[in-house]
Amino acid sequence: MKRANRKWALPLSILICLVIMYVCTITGIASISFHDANRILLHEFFHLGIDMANITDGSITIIRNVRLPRVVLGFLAGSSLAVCGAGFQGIFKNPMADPFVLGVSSGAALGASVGIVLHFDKTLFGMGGTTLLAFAGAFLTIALVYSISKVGKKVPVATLLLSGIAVSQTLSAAMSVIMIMNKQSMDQIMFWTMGSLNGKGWDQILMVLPYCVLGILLLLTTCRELDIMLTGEDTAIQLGVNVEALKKRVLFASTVITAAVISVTGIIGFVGLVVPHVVRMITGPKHRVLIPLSLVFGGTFLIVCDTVARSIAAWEIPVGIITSLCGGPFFIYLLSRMKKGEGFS
Amino acid sequence: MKNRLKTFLMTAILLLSAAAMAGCGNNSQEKDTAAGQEANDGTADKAADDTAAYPLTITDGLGDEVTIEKKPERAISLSPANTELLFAIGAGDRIKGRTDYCTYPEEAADVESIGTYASPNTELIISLEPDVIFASDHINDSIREQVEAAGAKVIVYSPKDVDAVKDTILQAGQIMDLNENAEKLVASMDADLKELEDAAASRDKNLSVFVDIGSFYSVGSDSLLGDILDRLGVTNIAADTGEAYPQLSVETIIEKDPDIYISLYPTAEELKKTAGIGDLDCIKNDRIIFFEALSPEADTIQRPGPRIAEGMKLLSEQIDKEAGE
Repeated sequence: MKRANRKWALPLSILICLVIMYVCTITGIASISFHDANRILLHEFFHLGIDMANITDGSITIIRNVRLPRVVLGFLAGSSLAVCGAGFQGIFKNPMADPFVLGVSSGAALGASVGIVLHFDKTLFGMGGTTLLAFAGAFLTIALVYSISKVGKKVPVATLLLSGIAVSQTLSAAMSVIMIMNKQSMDQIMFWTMGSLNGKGWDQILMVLPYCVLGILLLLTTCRELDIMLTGEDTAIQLGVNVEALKKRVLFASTVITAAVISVTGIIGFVGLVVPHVVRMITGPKHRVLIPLSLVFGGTFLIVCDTVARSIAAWEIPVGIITSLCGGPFFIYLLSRMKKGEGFS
Repeated sequence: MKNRLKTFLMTAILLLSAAAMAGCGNNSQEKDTAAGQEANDGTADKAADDTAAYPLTITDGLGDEVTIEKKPERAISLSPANTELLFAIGAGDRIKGRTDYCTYPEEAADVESIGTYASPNTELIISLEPDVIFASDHINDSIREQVEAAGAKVIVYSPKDVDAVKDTILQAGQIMDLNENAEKLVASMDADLKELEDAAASRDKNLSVFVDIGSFYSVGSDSLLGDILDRLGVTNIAADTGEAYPQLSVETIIEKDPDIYISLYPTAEELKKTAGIGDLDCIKNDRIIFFEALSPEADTIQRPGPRIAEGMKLLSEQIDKEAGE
């Protein structure tokens, strides 16, 4: 991509994202006309003296408490996962890395299933019981993986990945045991793991927002060092990058974000893996561009997928299926174009 | 060119597997309904001469023909509904195994458990030397093959409506040579159903309900609960999705604005706190019917067994109570 284009990439994609947010808010299975939806939106946002005659309370509730929060949460979740994916791929120098590679998702799922089986209904910091246990599960998992892979003061990347996989498999097995021993809760656990934004509202957004903002800001501060890491870990050390501290920062930030997001939405795969790759194909590997653009693209992608999930059939389709079904073939298409050397660079 | 071919192949494979999956779904559904009808016909024929019963060939809930050579002395039940059914027709003393979840009737506790219904202990089942095994559609094929190789006949029941539940009772009566008991049981169920039908006739047809079995998954018209709602004369807002267990968008629930919210999982407090749902009139006005998951009450409406009319009565009373407010 030419330099001039690159300068416009971020503002342009933000603009596209805003347009898509608007389109997705007025799209849905409930029959609210284009005109009515716009009237409700104008009324909600600008408190103008708009004539709200002939608009049912139901329609207002749908726009205000169902669609808007889903769009906002979709953006938050999608952008968070994509940014984490970009960070992980950078730190592990491994194209297969995604936010769940170290077992965060298995930990969260195990926590959630314990919550579901025990009917744990305590609330703390505005989080419900199941959410709370999922959040705790995710954190404990990362702490465990990190302490297993620690050699002296260093954390070798290969050990980290391997122990992540081992812990993740063990926890999945533990979850299967819980499911088999509690057949009656099996459905509820399945529903949780499939991941969905259905029924999520402003409360959930307020809950995850601080973690996402904090984590994303922290990740944005690592862009420059991640760029130097592209030249190799040894070179980075010679150039004065504190690689171990950088790893810790990226790991911590990503865990905070991912744990918060998936404890609310359940496990939504593919966004964190594919979005950074797609963005990298368009803009190149520099994290200063990659991370902000992944943020915008990831958010937009999940909003679109979720809108499809809630709008094309009379019933909800789990959003994880849509992300994989849309993202997979698109990714294959991009890969094949890359090989041919068309476009992009 | 080569790449384009690859992409094409990939797409083709994806589409084919999707089509295959869709196909499987349809097939099994067709099978279910067909089985129900055949079972129906079967009972009508056989009822005429119930003395010369064996060898007896029946068609089970999966549409499989099963031949029972002699009167079964040892039976195993692999679902709570089947256990209830066998006890209800007086075959309790011949049940040699049940699942961990068979909690009714009390006598079931005295029968040895063979594990859960999705993954029962195959060795234990075989060691109990059953003549027949009454399974649900949770049974897995490899376990089925093993127990069949050991000489047991496997009969699968997973009725999707109330009529099919009655059919399973009559058929189990034939198999266990307890026709009279089974017919009596079905007759008393019919009497209850008649009463419920009368109550349903006087009910406002426009009364709409939403059943939440957790995470807004609901029941369509092709499910037992969907059929029950139909018989109770209320409008089920999830009836027409074409799915047996569809998950509805909160958006759809708000648009359809049900008069009563029937919850089998989330509590009233949880519903009040849920975005969008909390704004529904039925939630604000506490028109919520809550059956705690796995409570004895929830079991009566969720188990496709002999107490289904009892469960329907319970639900019918609750609906009248909420509608009257």
